[in-house]
Amino acid sequence: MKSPVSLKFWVMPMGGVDTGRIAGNEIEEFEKAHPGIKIDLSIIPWTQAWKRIILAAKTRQLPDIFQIGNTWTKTLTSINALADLTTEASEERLKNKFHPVSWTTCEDETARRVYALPWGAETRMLFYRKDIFKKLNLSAADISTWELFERTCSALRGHDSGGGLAGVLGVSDIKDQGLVHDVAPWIWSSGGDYLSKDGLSAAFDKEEALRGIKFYFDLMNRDYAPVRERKFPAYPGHDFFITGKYAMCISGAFVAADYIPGFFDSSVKPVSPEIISKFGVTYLPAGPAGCFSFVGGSNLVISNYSTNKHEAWLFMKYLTSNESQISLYRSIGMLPAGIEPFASLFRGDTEQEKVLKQTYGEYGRSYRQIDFWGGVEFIIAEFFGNLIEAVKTRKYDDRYLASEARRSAAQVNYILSL
Amino acid sequence: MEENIGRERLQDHLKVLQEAVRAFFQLETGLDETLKAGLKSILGDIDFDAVYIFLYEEASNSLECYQARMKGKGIIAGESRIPVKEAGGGPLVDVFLGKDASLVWDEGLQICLPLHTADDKLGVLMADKLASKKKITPEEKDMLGDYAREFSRGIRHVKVFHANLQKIGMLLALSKISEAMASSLELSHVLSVILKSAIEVLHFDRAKLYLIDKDKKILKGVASADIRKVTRPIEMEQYRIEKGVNTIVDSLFEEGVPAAQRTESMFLYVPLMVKNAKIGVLVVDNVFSQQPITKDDRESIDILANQAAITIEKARLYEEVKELSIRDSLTGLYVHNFLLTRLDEEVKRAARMKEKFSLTIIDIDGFKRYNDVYGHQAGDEIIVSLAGILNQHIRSFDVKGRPLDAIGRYGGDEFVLLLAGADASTALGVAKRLRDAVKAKEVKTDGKSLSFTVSMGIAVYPDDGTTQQQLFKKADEALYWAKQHGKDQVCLVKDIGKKDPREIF
Repeated sequence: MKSPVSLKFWVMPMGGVDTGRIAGNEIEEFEKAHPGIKIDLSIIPWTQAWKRIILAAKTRQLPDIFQIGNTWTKTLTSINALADLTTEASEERLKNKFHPVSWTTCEDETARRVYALPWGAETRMLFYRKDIFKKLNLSAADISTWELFERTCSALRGHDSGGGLAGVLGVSDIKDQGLVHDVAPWIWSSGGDYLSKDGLSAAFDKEEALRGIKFYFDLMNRDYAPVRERKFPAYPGHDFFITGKYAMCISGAFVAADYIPGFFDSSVKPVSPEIISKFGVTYLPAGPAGCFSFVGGSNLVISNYSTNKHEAWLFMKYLTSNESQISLYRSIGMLPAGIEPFASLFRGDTEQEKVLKQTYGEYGRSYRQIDFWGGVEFIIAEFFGNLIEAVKTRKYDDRYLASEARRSAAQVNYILSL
Repeated sequence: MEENIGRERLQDHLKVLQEAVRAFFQLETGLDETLKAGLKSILGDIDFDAVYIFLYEEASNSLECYQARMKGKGIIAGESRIPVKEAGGGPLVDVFLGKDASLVWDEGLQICLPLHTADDKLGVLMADKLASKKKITPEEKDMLGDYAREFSRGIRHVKVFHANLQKIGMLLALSKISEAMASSLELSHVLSVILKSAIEVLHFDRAKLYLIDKDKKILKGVASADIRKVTRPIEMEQYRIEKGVNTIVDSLFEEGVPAAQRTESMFLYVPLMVKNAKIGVLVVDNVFSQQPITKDDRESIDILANQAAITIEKARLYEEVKELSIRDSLTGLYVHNFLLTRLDEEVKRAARMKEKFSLTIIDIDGFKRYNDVYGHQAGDEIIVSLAGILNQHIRSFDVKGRPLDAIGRYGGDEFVLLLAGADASTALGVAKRLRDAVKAKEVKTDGKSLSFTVSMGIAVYPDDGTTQQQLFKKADEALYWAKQHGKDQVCLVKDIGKKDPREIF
């Protein structure tokens, strides 16, 4: 009897500790349907993922199939690490089945080649505590622009919620790529960008971009978004939704789905209508250049060096099927990148669904796909990490921000000069 | 141990432990897989809810959650990177640093033990009973201690084994690189092998090579290669060799420090040395992948750099000898044979690119008279003087390093000028400037001041011929016509037969 093909599969945590179980369930189902294929799963923390994937690509030791941040596709393609899936994707007419904003991260538009399939999307929104807002006679309209947002932050800081409110706004202070995505909408809203229009040089050290970066980190520095007292770097979700330490929180749909199931998708049994009614969600505040959000997520890719490409494709197709996308959302809140599963999940017309759909479909943006985005993203994450460290050690000011921006821009320009 | 654990339980525990440890010595299995299986064993053996392995990462000076497993959920992974600091690092860091031999905290629900050998701190092993909220017993602490001890030995063993394996692989690869370098003495081949090796064998993100131009006292960029396997020339990068110009140049001034130690974050600057003389710098970096440059990387690049320096020097000497063989000893211009080769290349290139080029034959008017009247030395000085004028008026290479124009000494007082990409009108313009420059030149010899003139015939590819022979024949005919009709003038092939070729100016 032929021994089963073993596929090495690397994923990163989505929805914290449940990743193993989620991936495990999918694997179990897939292996049942394909007895000749065994999946060998490894989970890599996001903080290590980039380094380990690049090292594995350099030494040709990539797993057969693996998850990547959807901003990394072009980079890995440029070093020939990914299998070309154009034929398979075109046979299955996949392009029309996914939302364009996610599909563009899978395709090399110039060469018209496909190298990845979307595996879950996410977008940043502003969550707020309706109960606290109500007490102060505030509403979502009071956080709809930068100016109003700042005014509301000030009002909320003076508010005593009855104890336990540690800060106005919950933000992440973990130095990873997530920080780059957190800050991006503020830069776009102020008319700037991370890179120049031609993608050949850094632009985050320019005036427009710096205005957005400054607005965001000033929130930390003025203790609206407190990070100084934290013992360990943290994501804000738990402290916003569970312990109620913040009045607002910037996060993705997956966080809400994780902590308060049923908040967006009415087909999921809600934790409790009473809890859900405590929370509201709205668009990120509009800056001088308008309202923007970041659309990110993960892609699945197959190693160019894999000797089991066919089997890996079967598994990839399974993981990106409509059913799996819906199941992924229901278990960890990653939005389906597929048009059909997205539509079938969000059929209602609640305020939160409206915000989600409009943020993802209208205000959402991703980055320009360039060869070296992966390395660039890492340097920008370092830059923002240094700003957070400076806030914590009270070294942060406009001069520090400008000089760190110049230093990081020089590093980015160096990478782009390759 | 037996005080805390019953005999039967101990036997079971030792059996599972032995199995888990054995995996470390099945050397074909990587550390990832071994630890994954190891954590599974711990959960099967001891009644913990979750177990985590944090390994120390030198580059970020932090403990990174390398593997984690939770009962009933399989493999898990948290986003844990804990900075190692002396004060306030938390229980894991304190145990890692040896401040505490082990720690149980959170009302007995969490435990942490060090992973270390006599000379190496490797990380920590952590377990918890947070879900079941049962206190960790002394017996469980002892059993976890067995795993921590054996895993420490195992991890060290796997690390040493893989490091040695990597070293052996590297030495084999370096020996192959030496062979590849020695297979040809063409400088371009040698440089390409060096850059390719730094990327594909030593796995740096990028390598850039700079060589010293002794005459001009500058450090000149040669080429850059990166992990996309893209190689490109970097001749535009030229730096004065003076302290403080930049880090690349500064690396040439460092004395007495082993090359391997000259690093700046994720960059490595390795001077290329031949017999204590520096001939250039090899710069490698990992900025793109953000991987730290390790001690092993430094040792490997040093070996490559030493080999590279010697081979580059040999290739340069070979090129010099080759260059001498194609240069005329009096004028330094190309000799007849090389000029024919260059012309053949240009015919092929122009045909491929569908471009034009011109061939001009230049002859000194009445040269025999100078030799007869003023002596052969005066004749030689006129020839050298004309060669100097020609050199001033042509371009040697374009920005991509592609040869453009070429001048050669065709015979005694005949010269040939090849102008890449030049049509009849461009060639006439250059010829006019040359004729004017020659007329304005005074050659001082033996206390006398001599002046001279030249005649020129120009043929253009493909209008006047499509082979080297046809072009020479036609240009020669045009030159002959210019000589016959008054000298000190230029004639295009298409103007042969015209009454006064000077009309073309």
